Amino acid sequence: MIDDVIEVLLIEDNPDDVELTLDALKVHKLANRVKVLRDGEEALDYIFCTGQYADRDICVSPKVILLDLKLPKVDGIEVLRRIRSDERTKTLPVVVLTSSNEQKDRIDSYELGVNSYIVKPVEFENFAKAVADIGFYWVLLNKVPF
Amino acid sequence: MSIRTKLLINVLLLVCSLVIIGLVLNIVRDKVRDSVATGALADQLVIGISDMNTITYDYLMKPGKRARQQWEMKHASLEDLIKGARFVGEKESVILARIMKNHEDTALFFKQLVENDEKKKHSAASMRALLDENNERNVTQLMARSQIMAGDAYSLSRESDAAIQKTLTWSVWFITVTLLIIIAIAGAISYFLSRNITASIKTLKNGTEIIARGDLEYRVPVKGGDEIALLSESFNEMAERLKDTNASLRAEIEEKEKGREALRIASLYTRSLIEVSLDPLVTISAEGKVMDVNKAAEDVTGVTREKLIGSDFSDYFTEPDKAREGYSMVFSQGFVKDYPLAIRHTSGEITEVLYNAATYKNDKGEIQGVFAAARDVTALKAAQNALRKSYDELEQRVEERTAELKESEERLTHALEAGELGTWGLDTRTGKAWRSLRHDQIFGYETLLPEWTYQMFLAHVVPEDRKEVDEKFGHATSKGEEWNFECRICRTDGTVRWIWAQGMPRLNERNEVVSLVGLVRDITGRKQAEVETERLATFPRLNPNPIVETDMAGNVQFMNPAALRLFPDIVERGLAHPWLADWEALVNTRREGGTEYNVREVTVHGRWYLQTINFVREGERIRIYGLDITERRTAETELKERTVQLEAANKELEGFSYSVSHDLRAPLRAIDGFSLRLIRDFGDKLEEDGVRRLHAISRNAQQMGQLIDDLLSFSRLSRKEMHMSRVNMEAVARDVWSEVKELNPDRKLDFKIVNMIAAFGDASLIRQVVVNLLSNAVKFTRDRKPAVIEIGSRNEGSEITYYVKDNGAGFDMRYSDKLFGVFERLHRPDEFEGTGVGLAIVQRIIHRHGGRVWAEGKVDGGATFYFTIAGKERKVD
Repeated sequence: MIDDVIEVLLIEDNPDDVELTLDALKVHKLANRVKVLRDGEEALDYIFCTGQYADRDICVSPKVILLDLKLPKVDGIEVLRRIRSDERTKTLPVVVLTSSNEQKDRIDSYELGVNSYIVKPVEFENFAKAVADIGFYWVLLNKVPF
Repeated sequence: MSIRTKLLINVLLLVCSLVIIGLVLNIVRDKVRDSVATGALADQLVIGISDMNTITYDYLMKPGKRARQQWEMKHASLEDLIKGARFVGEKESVILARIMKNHEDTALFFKQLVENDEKKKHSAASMRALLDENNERNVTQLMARSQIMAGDAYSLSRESDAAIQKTLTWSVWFITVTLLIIIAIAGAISYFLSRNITASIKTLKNGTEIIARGDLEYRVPVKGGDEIALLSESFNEMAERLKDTNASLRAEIEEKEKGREALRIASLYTRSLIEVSLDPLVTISAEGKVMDVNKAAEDVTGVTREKLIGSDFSDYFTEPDKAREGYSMVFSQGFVKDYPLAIRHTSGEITEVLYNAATYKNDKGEIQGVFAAARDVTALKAAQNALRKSYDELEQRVEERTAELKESEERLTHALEAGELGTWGLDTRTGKAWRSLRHDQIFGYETLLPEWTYQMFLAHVVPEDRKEVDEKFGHATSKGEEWNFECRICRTDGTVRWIWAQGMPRLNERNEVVSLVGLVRDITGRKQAEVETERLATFPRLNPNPIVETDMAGNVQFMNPAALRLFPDIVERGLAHPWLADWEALVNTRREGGTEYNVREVTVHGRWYLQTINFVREGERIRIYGLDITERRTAETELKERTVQLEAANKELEGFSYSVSHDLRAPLRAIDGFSLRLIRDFGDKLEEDGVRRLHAISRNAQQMGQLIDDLLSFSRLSRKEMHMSRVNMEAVARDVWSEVKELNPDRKLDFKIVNMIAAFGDASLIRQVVVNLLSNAVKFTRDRKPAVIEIGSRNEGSEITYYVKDNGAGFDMRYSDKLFGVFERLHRPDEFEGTGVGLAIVQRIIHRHGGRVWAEGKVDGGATFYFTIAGKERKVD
C-alpha cells in the first residue's frame, strides 16, 4: 500500500462511510490507492503540501478527489473553492459525494466548477454501486489533461 | 537837497577837521613843555647827588672841618632843590619822597660819622677800634643811601624822557588817524555827490530817448528834489500833454472809421434785405432798361443778373405790352398796386405775380426810374386749393364717423342681446316706460307690450321681495341714488325667475329726478349655480379627512373644518408645519412637468397621513387631501416585525432540514451497509432466521431513508419560489404518462386524456401534482386488468377543476379527511408501498396556487381526485 500511487483522495469525516466507501472501491481494486483525509484542514494541507504534508510533492496529483461537504473545521465547499482558485490544482477532478440533496449545495458546487455531484444513497447496494462506478470512471476510464 | 547845498556841506566838514587837528597840536605842545621841565629838574638832582657823593668821598679821604662844612653846605643846597621839585606823575612823586627820606638819612649817618671821628681822638685804642667798626658801618650806610638816591634821580630823569617820547608818539598817531578820517569822509561825500548827480542825469537822458522814440506812455522816474528831478518832472509833463493830444487825434480818426463802417453795413443790410426777399425785385431806368435785380428775380426768370441788367424789362413777361402799360402807369401816377402779370421762366414755367411799383427820384426830385416788386401768388392759390380740398375731406370724415356711430350702436345692441340684457327707461313723472323687446321677454311676454309702467313691474315682483324693491326705488327717485337690486319675479306664465336690474337716475336743472334709464337681466341660472356651489361646498366641509389648499408659496387659502380641527396651527407655522413638509420638493414635482398629482406620507402630531396632492387652477394652487393612515401604518409595522420573525424561523427550519437530510441519512446508510455486508461476508455462517432479520434491518433502514427524503421534499415545497405562467396541461399529462408507463412496463394500462384546459401556475409544481396523482392511480390499480385511468378538466367560471379517475382499490369515504395528511395511509405497507407523503404534497401545491383539492371514492370502487386551479392570471400564494 505504501508503494502504491495515490489515485483517489477521499475527504470524509464519518468513519463508517469511509469503511463502506473503501469496501465499495475494492470491486475495482482501488482501495489501496486511496488516501483518506478526515477534515477540510487536513485535506487542504495534503492538497497544497503544507503542515504535516509539507514534504509531499505537489506535482504528484490524485486522479480524483471524493469530497464530502459537511466536514469539521473547513467545509467541503470551501475546500472546493480553494482547489479551484489555485493555478496548480484548478484542473483536478473533484466529485462531491454527500448526503445533502439541498439545491443550494448543488448550485454552489457547480458554480465552483465541480466535476460531478453525487448524493449518497441510503441503500447500501445503491451506494456501493455508485462509489464503484465513480472509481471505475474517474480512475480507470477518465483521462486527465496532464 | 540842491547840489549847491551838498557841496557846502562838504567844505564845512573839511574846515571842522582842520580845527580839530590844530587843537590837538596845541595840547601836545603843552604836554611836551611840562615833560622837558621835569627832565631838567631830574638832571639837576642827578648832578647834585653826584656832587654829594664826591664830597662824601672827599671827607672820607680827608676828614676835617672844611670838608665837613663843605658837605653840610652841599647837603643843604640839595635839600632845597629836592623840596622845591614838583612832579605831575604819582610814580615820580613816590620816587621824590624816597629821595627825600634817604637824603635825611645821609645827614643822620654823616653826623654819627663825624661824632665818632671826634670821639676817636679822645678814646683808647680799643675804643677806637670799636668806633672805627661803627664808622665803617656808617660809611657803608651812607654810601648805600647815596647810591639809592643817585639811582632814584636817574630814574626820574629817565621817566621824564619817556614821558616826552610817549607824548610825541601819541600826537603823531592822533594826527594820522584824524587825517585819515577826514580823507575818508571827504572822499565818501565826493563819491556820493558825483554818483547822485550823474545817475539822475543818465536816467533823464534814457527817458528822453525812449519818449523820443514815440513811447508816450513812458515816464522818467523822479527821485529826490534836486534840479534834475525838477527837469524830469517837466519833461514828464511835456510827454503827458503830447500823449493827450495824440489820443484825441486817434479818437477822431476812429470815429470817422466807425461812421464809414456803419454806412457800409447799412448798405449791405439794405442789399441783403433786397436779396433775401422772396419777391422778385427790380429797378428799371426811365428808358425801360433793367438797372438792378435781386436773387428772386434771377430765380423767377432763369436769367443771370449780368444778363438781366441792361435788358428790356418787358421781355420777361408773358404779356410785354401789358407790362409796358403798367410801367407807363407808374410814370403817370407815381405807383401801381397789385398789377397782375405773369413772368416766364427760361424753362417755360409761368409764375403768376402781382406787381407793386413806384418811381424813385434823385435829390432834385427828378425821376430816376421805377422800383418794382412782384409778389408770387402761386403759393396763395395753392393754399386756396388745399383749403377747399381739406373741407371736402372733412365732409367725408363726418360721413364716415356717422357710419361708425351707427355701427357702434349696432354693436351695443348686439352686446345687450349677447348679454341677454334688456334695456328700459322710465319717465318718473308720467310713470310710463320704454323698453327693449328683451325686457318684456324677461317678464314672459313674447312681443313688446303696448304699455309698461312701474306698477306693472311691481306687480310681477314676488310679494316677499316687493317691499325691498319699492324702498330702493323710492331712494332712487327721491335722492338720485342708483337703483340696483336682485329679486324674484313671477312671469306671466307663472314661473318664478331671479332678475337683476339697475337704473341710473337722470336729473333736470333743478336736480330733480325726471327719469331712470337702466338694464335688466334674468339671473336665474346664476342663482341656481350659487345654490349648486353652496351644495358642492358641503363636500369638503363635511369631509372628515383634512383638506388644505395653498398658493405656490405655501400660504393657506382654504381649510376644511377637519383640517382646521386637526391643524389649528398651520397658518401660524406656515411652511414649518409638518403638513407642508418638504415644500420645495413638493412644488418641484409640478415644475418639472411631473404628474398631475402626487402622493406622499407625512406625520403630524404623531399621526400618519397619506397626502394626495393636486395642482389646481392651472398650477396656481396646491390642494392637499389627507387620509389618516396611522392604524394602517401600525399594522404594517407589526406585519413587518412578524415577517422578520417568520423569516428567522424559516431560516432555522432550513438549517434544521439540512441537518436532517445530511445527518439522519448517514447512520441509516451505515445500518443498511453493515447489515448487507454482514450477510454478504458472513451469510453462510448465520442461520436462515439471522439472515432474514438482517434483511429486515436493512429494509427498515431503507424505508426510513425514503421517509426522510419524502419529508424533506415536502418541506422544501413551502420554500420553493413560484414562477407563474400559462401551463399547457394536456402536454404535461401526456408527458407524465409516458414516464409513468415506462416505470411500469409490465402493466396493462388504459389511459385517457379528456379536455385538458390550460392552467395558470408554476409549471414544475403542477407537473409534480400530475406525477403524484397518476403514480397513485397506477399504484392502486395494481390488481385491475385492465387498469383504467382518466384525466380531464372542466371550466367552472374563474377556475378550472381537474380530475384523475381510476378503477383501483378506492377508499372508504369515512377516512377521506385523512387522505391528504402527511404520512397518513389508508393501506398497509404490505398491500401498497409508500410513505404517505404524495397526496400531502399535492394538497400543499394546490393550496399554494389558491386552489382546492378533494377526493371521492369507494372501497374497491375506484377513486377520483379533484383539484382546482385558476385559468387566468391572479394573485395567489
